[in-house]
Amino acid sequence: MSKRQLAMVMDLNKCIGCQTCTVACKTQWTNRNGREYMYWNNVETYPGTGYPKNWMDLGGGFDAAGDLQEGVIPHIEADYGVPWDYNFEDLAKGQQLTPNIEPTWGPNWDEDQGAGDFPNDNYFFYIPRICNHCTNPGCLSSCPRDAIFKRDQDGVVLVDLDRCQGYRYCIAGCPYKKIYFNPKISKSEKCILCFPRIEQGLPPACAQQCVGRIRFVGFLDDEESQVHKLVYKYKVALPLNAHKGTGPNVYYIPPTEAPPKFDANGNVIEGSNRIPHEELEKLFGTEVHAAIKTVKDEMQKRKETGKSELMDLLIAYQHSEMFRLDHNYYKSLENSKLAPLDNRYIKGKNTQKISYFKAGE
Amino acid sequence: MKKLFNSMLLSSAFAISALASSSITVYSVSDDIANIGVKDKQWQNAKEFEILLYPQTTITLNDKNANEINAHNKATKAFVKAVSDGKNIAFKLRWADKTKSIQSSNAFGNTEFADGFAVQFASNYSDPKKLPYIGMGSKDRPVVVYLQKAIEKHFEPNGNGDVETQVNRNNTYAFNSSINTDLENFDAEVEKQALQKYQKAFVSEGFRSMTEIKDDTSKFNSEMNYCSHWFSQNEWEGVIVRSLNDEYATFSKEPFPVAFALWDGEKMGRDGLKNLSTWVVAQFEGIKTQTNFKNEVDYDLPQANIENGESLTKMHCGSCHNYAQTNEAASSYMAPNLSNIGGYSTTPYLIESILEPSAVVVAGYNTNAHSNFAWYYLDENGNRTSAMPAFDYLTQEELNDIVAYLKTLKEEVK
Repeated sequence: MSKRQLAMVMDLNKCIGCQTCTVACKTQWTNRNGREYMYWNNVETYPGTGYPKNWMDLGGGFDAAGDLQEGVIPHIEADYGVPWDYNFEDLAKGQQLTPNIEPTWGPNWDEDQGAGDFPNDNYFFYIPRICNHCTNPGCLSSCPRDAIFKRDQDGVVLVDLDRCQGYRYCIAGCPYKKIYFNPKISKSEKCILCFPRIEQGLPPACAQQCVGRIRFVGFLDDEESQVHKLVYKYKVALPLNAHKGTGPNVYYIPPTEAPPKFDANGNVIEGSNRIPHEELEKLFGTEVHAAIKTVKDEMQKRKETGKSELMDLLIAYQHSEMFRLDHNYYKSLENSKLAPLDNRYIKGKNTQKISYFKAGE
Repeated sequence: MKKLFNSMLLSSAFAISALASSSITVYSVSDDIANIGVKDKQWQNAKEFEILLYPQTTITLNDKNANEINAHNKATKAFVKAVSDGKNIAFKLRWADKTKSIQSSNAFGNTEFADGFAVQFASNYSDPKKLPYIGMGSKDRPVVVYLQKAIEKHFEPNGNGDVETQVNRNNTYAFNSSINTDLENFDAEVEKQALQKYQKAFVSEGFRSMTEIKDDTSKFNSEMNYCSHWFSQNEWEGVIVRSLNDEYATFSKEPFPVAFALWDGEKMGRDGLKNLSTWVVAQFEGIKTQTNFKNEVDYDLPQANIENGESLTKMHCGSCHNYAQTNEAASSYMAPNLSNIGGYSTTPYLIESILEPSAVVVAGYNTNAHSNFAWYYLDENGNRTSAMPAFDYLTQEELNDIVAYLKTLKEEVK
């Protein structure tokens, strides 16, 4: 466990699935040098197969006793999808637009399909996913090289690329499949929570660019932070698949708002909600019912009295009300090095010239 | 008659084990071997020794598919030659592998694993009874490991501080080929910085502590070559050559211990998913030594009662350790699995581990992975105390019986 912990809250009521976050992340980090297939941030449709395909069934994480569980490394062609490109340049010569490979699978292959019978009770919602920067990360625990560490100053989980030897146990160990193998460098890579931006007091690219303004970023122990209020004060933001035992630090406000269902004659069923609460319980645990009630009650309160701190928070009038990052905090830490969880290597005991992950210095 | 049959069985068992060597002779050659390859003529006069390598079953990692594929691995054979030119020492391995598994660097390669091999040396071997733990050394008993894997040329941006050269080749603003040749220059730069071969040297004091030597303080060279035979099994040949002396290990005329490991990419082999040998003694050709080093590194216990050892092992060890397909331990994460301990451990190591468990502590899992089953406790100075109590109250006979039984715990040879 780190001394402090950064967290992100995503309000699923407001996510429109536009993938601006995905593109922000991709252009910042993953459109090159073996990372082309990776989506450190993706937005998937629920119910759906997700990215990589059926990631929830691929193992990893911990059981109730705290033992790391076996997992599977997804296959790039069958599960992630091989990135393809089009011959845009040839269009001017009068040729047909064709992909450079025959696509067989990709992220969002089943986007917007959802479940249920159209138009009566079909439904879906979006879940944006990044690395959860877990308190007890499955990836870190499964690394036989101790190459993955959690930063003490903010709990960001990083791969020490000098120590990583590309064994890929981390991919099996992550229950969210949010760490990826880069074949070009034969090492694992993952979301870094844009720590170079965070250290400058800027939110991660995905949060900054979010047009729905669904993402809140801050320190969990900062009582003034939006994330603290949403997670601890109102308890409306819940971790995804918390039963996997990793202590995820990305929290979701469950989708409380959905259109009503239609009956057989096409008439609105008053008071009905298309999104079954049992499905939300699968993702967010039994706490989801209390969270939904709190959001509904506060909405009602806002309607009646015009006042609700929670609603004001969730509306997120401007960026300054969504992110509480602290450039000065990082500035004060400038002289302390990144601390791996196990500090046996800090002194360079075995060789004098071990080079550590340099970016944070 | 039955007795005779038994003794025949016994002698045939001896005949099999006699084929596998516990020592290797290092032959002298006159030519410089600093860059020796698998096909060089310096190998011609060196005798080949058969070494057995046993599946590493001390810990089981968390890759479900890999664990299923490797559940019933057998021991394998490698044929080893060694030569020295007075400045360098070279080992050549030959081992059967019916598939050539290359880990490619293209985007499709995320579930590909490479064949590979490694040679391990003890940094300090002055006391043959206190050699480093076979699994990449142990605290204060470092080893140096040379590894080559069949991994295609890859680009490693970290370590050189060259992250800035990682630009997006689709960026038409930066790479407008009609205006400039930046893309060609970039490709040339990547090509230049790419690691041509996956050849690495490591120092290690037990698994999880393995640290790559990146500062050229250990000069070495290696080569791997796959030979397809239409008349017999396909096999890999591999050579590792290093200088006789560096800060990690020094070899003079005295015999020294060496160990070998093989990975099979087809079986998702990497890291602990490998076959490894026990410490094998290498002796320089024609040099008579005073010490009885070879017999002290490992020896049999012919007087021991293996049956008694089996029941004693069950009584004293079985509640924590799994072994020989018995799963009676409280948890499979509780303690090292002893199923192949006889294949890759020496008699002095087993005796030491039973009498002084904290002398060599197997690092085991990441401390977060199975936090209820700590194999050791750390004090503030980083000293490890094993969770295993010392079994120093056993009589010498009981101890020998247990060790003799443990030495029988190993898979058959494929």
